[in-house]
Amino acid sequence: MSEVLTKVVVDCSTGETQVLPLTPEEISQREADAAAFAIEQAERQAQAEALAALKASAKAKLVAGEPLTAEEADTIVI
Amino acid sequence: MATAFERIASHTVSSGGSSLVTFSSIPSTYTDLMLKISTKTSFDWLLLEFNDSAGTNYKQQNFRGDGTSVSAQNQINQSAAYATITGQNVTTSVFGNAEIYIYQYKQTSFKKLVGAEGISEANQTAAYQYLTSTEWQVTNEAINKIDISKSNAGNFDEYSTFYLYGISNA
Repeated sequence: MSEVLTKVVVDCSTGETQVLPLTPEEISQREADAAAFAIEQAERQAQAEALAALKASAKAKLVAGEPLTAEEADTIVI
Repeated sequence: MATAFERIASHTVSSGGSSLVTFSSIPSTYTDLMLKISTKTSFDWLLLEFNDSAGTNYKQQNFRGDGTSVSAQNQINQSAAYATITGQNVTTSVFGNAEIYIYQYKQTSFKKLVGAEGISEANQTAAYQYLTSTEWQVTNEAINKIDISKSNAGNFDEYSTFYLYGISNA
Protein backbone atom coordinates (compact mmCIF):
# COMPACT_ATOMS: atom_id res chain seq x y z
CA MET A 1 0.00 0.00 0.00
CA SER A 2 1.46 3.34 -1.02
CA GLU A 3 1.97 6.19 1.41
CA VAL A 4 -0.85 8.74 1.46
CA LEU A 5 0.58 12.23 0.91
CA THR A 6 -1.10 14.86 3.01
CA LYS A 7 -0.56 18.48 3.90
CA VAL A 8 -1.26 20.33 7.11
CA VAL A 9 -2.53 23.90 7.01
CA VAL A 10 -2.23 25.92 10.23
CA ASP A 11 -4.23 29.16 10.16
CA CYS A 12 -2.24 31.55 12.35
CA SER A 13 -5.18 33.90 12.79
CA THR A 14 -7.52 31.27 14.21
CA GLY A 15 -5.23 28.48 15.35
CA GLU A 16 -7.30 26.05 13.28
CA THR A 17 -5.41 23.11 11.74
CA GLN A 18 -6.59 21.17 8.70
CA VAL A 19 -5.15 17.94 7.27
CA LEU A 20 -5.80 17.67 3.52
CA PRO A 21 -4.68 15.35 0.68
CA LEU A 22 -2.13 16.82 -1.75
CA THR A 23 -3.48 18.08 -5.07
CA PRO A 24 -2.13 16.64 -8.36
CA GLU A 25 -0.29 19.97 -8.90
CA GLU A 26 1.38 19.70 -5.51
CA ILE A 27 2.39 16.12 -6.21
CA SER A 28 3.90 17.22 -9.55
CA GLN A 29 5.83 20.00 -7.82
CA ARG A 30 7.21 17.53 -5.32
CA GLU A 31 8.37 15.27 -8.14
CA ALA A 32 10.12 18.22 -9.81
CA ASP A 33 11.76 19.14 -6.50
CA ALA A 34 12.96 15.57 -6.05
CA ALA A 35 14.55 15.57 -9.50
CA ALA A 36 16.29 18.88 -8.80
CA PHE A 37 17.57 17.58 -5.49
CA ALA A 38 19.03 14.50 -7.16
CA ILE A 39 20.82 16.66 -9.73
CA GLU A 40 22.17 18.97 -7.03
CA GLN A 41 23.52 16.05 -5.03
CA ALA A 42 25.17 14.51 -8.10
CA GLU A 43 26.79 17.84 -9.06
CA ARG A 44 28.10 18.37 -5.54
CA GLN A 45 29.50 14.84 -5.44
CA ALA A 46 31.19 15.27 -8.82
CA GLN A 47 32.76 18.58 -7.75
CA ALA A 48 34.08 17.03 -4.54
CA GLU A 49 35.55 14.05 -6.39
CA ALA A 50 37.19 16.26 -9.02
CA LEU A 51 38.77 18.45 -6.33
CA ALA A 52 40.05 15.41 -4.45
CA ALA A 53 41.61 14.05 -7.64
CA LEU A 54 43.33 17.36 -8.38
CA LYS A 55 44.72 17.54 -4.85
CA ALA A 56 46.01 13.99 -5.04
CA SER A 57 47.68 14.69 -8.36
CA ALA A 58 49.24 17.92 -7.05
CA LYS A 59 50.60 16.13 -3.99
CA ALA A 60 52.08 13.31 -6.06
CA LYS A 61 53.79 15.76 -8.41
CA LEU A 62 55.19 17.80 -5.53
CA VAL A 63 56.68 14.69 -3.97
CA ALA A 64 58.14 13.63 -7.31
CA GLY A 65 59.46 17.13 -8.08
CA GLU A 66 57.34 17.48 -11.20
CA PRO A 67 55.68 20.71 -12.41
CA LEU A 68 52.03 21.26 -11.49
CA THR A 69 49.30 22.44 -13.79
CA ALA A 70 47.62 25.75 -12.93
CA GLU A 71 44.53 23.86 -11.78
CA GLU A 72 46.58 21.67 -9.47
CA ALA A 73 48.43 24.69 -8.08
CA ASP A 74 45.10 26.37 -7.33
CA THR A 75 44.25 23.55 -4.92
CA ILE A 76 47.23 24.29 -2.67
CA VAL A 77 47.85 28.04 -3.11
CA ILE A 78 45.43 30.51 -1.51
CA MET B 1 17.70 44.24 19.30
CA ALA B 2 14.73 41.97 19.80
CA THR B 3 12.40 43.05 22.57
CA ALA B 4 9.84 40.25 22.26
CA PHE B 5 9.89 36.68 21.01
CA GLU B 6 6.43 35.17 20.73
CA ARG B 7 5.14 31.85 19.46
CA ILE B 8 2.61 32.41 16.66
CA ALA B 9 1.73 28.81 15.84
CA SER B 10 3.04 25.27 15.93
CA HIS B 11 2.34 21.81 14.61
CA THR B 12 3.41 18.32 15.56
CA VAL B 13 3.04 15.74 12.81
CA SER B 14 0.64 13.00 13.77
CA SER B 15 0.48 9.31 12.95
CA GLY B 16 0.77 8.68 9.22
CA GLY B 17 3.05 11.64 8.64
CA SER B 18 2.60 14.69 6.45
CA SER B 19 4.50 15.91 3.41
CA LEU B 20 3.73 19.61 3.64
CA VAL B 21 3.11 21.99 6.53
CA THR B 22 1.64 25.41 5.84
CA PHE B 23 1.41 28.41 8.13
CA SER B 24 -1.22 30.71 6.65
CA SER B 25 -2.62 34.12 7.64
CA ILE B 26 0.62 35.09 9.35
CA PRO B 27 0.03 38.36 11.21
CA SER B 28 2.01 41.41 10.11
CA THR B 29 2.58 42.64 13.65
CA TYR B 30 6.20 41.56 14.08
CA THR B 31 9.56 42.66 12.75
CA ASP B 32 11.03 39.25 11.83
CA LEU B 33 9.93 35.62 11.81
CA MET B 34 11.71 32.52 13.03
CA LEU B 35 11.03 28.86 12.36
CA LYS B 36 12.34 26.13 14.62
CA ILE B 37 11.91 22.76 13.02
CA SER B 38 12.71 19.26 14.16
CA THR B 39 12.18 16.60 11.52
CA LYS B 40 12.69 13.01 10.75
CA THR B 41 12.36 11.79 7.18
CA SER B 42 14.54 10.66 4.30
CA PHE B 43 17.72 12.72 3.73
CA ASP B 44 16.30 15.77 1.96
CA TRP B 45 16.43 19.46 1.53
CA LEU B 46 13.93 21.33 3.66
CA LEU B 47 12.07 23.63 1.27
CA LEU B 48 10.32 26.92 1.99
CA GLU B 49 7.88 28.63 -0.33
CA PHE B 50 6.40 32.05 0.46
CA ASN B 51 2.91 33.21 -0.58
CA ASP B 52 2.58 30.35 -3.12
CA SER B 53 5.42 31.95 -5.05
CA ALA B 54 7.23 29.28 -7.04
CA GLY B 55 8.60 30.20 -10.48
CA THR B 56 12.23 31.20 -10.24
CA ASN B 57 11.96 33.60 -7.33
CA TYR B 58 14.62 32.23 -5.00
CA LYS B 59 18.39 32.37 -5.05
CA GLN B 60 20.79 31.16 -2.41
CA GLN B 61 24.23 30.22 -1.28
CA ASN B 62 24.92 27.26 0.92
CA PHE B 63 27.79 25.63 2.72
CA ARG B 64 27.77 21.97 3.62
CA GLY B 65 29.99 20.18 6.08
CA ASP B 66 29.96 16.42 6.52
CA GLY B 67 32.73 15.91 9.05
CA THR B 68 35.49 15.43 6.51
CA SER B 69 34.96 18.09 3.86
CA VAL B 70 33.21 21.38 3.22
CA SER B 71 31.57 22.39 -0.03
CA ALA B 72 29.72 25.47 -1.22
CA GLN B 73 27.14 26.15 -3.87
CA ASN B 74 25.46 29.16 -5.41
CA GLN B 75 22.01 28.50 -6.82
CA ILE B 76 19.80 30.91 -8.70
CA ASN B 77 16.33 30.78 -10.19
CA GLN B 78 15.11 28.18 -7.74
CA SER B 79 11.41 27.40 -7.34
CA ALA B 80 11.71 27.32 -3.55
CA ALA B 81 14.15 28.25 -0.82
CA TYR B 82 16.33 25.20 -0.20
CA ALA B 83 16.59 26.36 3.37
CA THR B 84 18.47 23.58 5.08
CA ILE B 85 18.56 19.86 5.62
CA THR B 86 16.11 17.52 7.26
CA GLY B 87 16.78 14.80 9.75
CA GLN B 88 17.39 11.27 8.56
CA ASN B 89 15.00 8.51 9.46
CA VAL B 90 17.68 5.95 10.14
CA THR B 91 17.79 5.97 13.93
CA THR B 92 14.83 5.67 16.26
CA SER B 93 13.92 8.82 18.17
CA VAL B 94 16.72 10.92 16.63
CA PHE B 95 15.56 14.00 14.77
CA GLY B 96 17.39 16.58 12.67
CA ASN B 97 17.06 20.22 13.70
CA ALA B 98 16.86 23.48 11.84
CA GLU B 99 16.51 27.14 12.70
CA ILE B 100 15.39 29.56 10.02
CA TYR B 101 15.28 33.34 10.40
CA ILE B 102 13.22 35.47 8.02
CA TYR B 103 14.21 39.11 8.11
CA GLN B 104 11.70 41.96 7.78
CA TYR B 105 9.03 39.72 6.33
CA LYS B 106 6.32 42.38 6.12
CA GLN B 107 8.27 44.88 4.05
CA THR B 108 6.92 45.62 0.58
CA SER B 109 9.79 47.64 -0.83
CA PHE B 110 12.70 45.19 -0.98
CA LYS B 111 13.58 41.52 -1.31
CA LYS B 112 13.36 39.34 1.78
CA LEU B 113 16.38 37.53 3.21
CA VAL B 114 16.39 34.18 4.96
CA GLY B 115 19.21 32.73 7.03
CA ALA B 116 19.14 29.06 7.99
CA GLU B 117 21.20 26.40 9.64
CA GLY B 118 20.38 22.76 10.02
CA ILE B 119 21.87 19.47 11.07
CA SER B 120 20.83 16.03 9.86
CA GLU B 121 21.47 14.28 13.12
CA ALA B 122 21.19 10.52 12.99
CA ASN B 123 23.37 9.22 15.83
CA GLN B 124 25.69 7.64 13.29
CA THR B 125 29.04 8.53 11.72
CA ALA B 126 27.65 10.40 8.73
CA ALA B 127 25.91 13.67 9.52
CA TYR B 128 25.61 16.91 7.62
CA GLN B 129 25.42 20.54 8.57
CA TYR B 130 24.13 23.20 6.21
CA LEU B 131 24.38 26.97 6.45
CA THR B 132 22.23 28.71 3.89
CA SER B 133 21.43 32.26 2.91
CA THR B 134 18.42 32.76 0.65
CA GLU B 135 16.87 35.75 -1.06
CA TRP B 136 13.19 35.76 -2.01
CA GLN B 137 13.24 38.08 -4.96
CA VAL B 138 9.71 39.41 -4.66
CA THR B 139 9.82 42.99 -3.42
CA ASN B 140 6.21 44.10 -3.19
CA GLU B 141 4.66 41.38 -1.03
CA ALA B 142 4.74 40.88 2.71
CA ILE B 143 5.12 37.23 3.64
CA ASN B 144 1.79 35.98 4.97
CA LYS B 145 2.05 32.29 4.11
CA ILE B 146 4.88 29.78 4.41
CA ASP B 147 4.82 26.29 2.93
CA ILE B 148 7.37 23.90 4.41
CA SER B 149 8.07 20.73 2.48
CA LYS B 150 10.95 18.50 1.55
CA SER B 151 12.65 17.72 -1.69
CA ASN B 152 11.86 14.07 -2.01
CA ALA B 153 8.93 11.74 -1.95
CA GLY B 154 7.27 10.68 1.26
CA ASN B 155 6.17 12.35 4.45
CA PHE B 156 7.74 13.97 7.46
CA ASP B 157 7.59 11.31 10.14
CA GLU B 158 5.29 11.36 13.13
CA TYR B 159 6.46 13.68 15.95
CA SER B 160 8.30 16.05 13.61
CA THR B 161 7.64 19.54 14.96
CA PHE B 162 7.26 22.97 13.37
CA TYR B 163 7.23 26.18 15.43
CA LEU B 164 6.70 29.67 14.04
CA TYR B 165 7.77 32.65 16.15
CA GLY B 166 7.39 36.37 15.73
CA ILE B 167 10.21 38.67 16.83
CA SER B 168 9.57 42.32 17.64
CA ASN B 169 12.30 44.91 17.65
CA ALA B 170 10.20 47.64 19.17
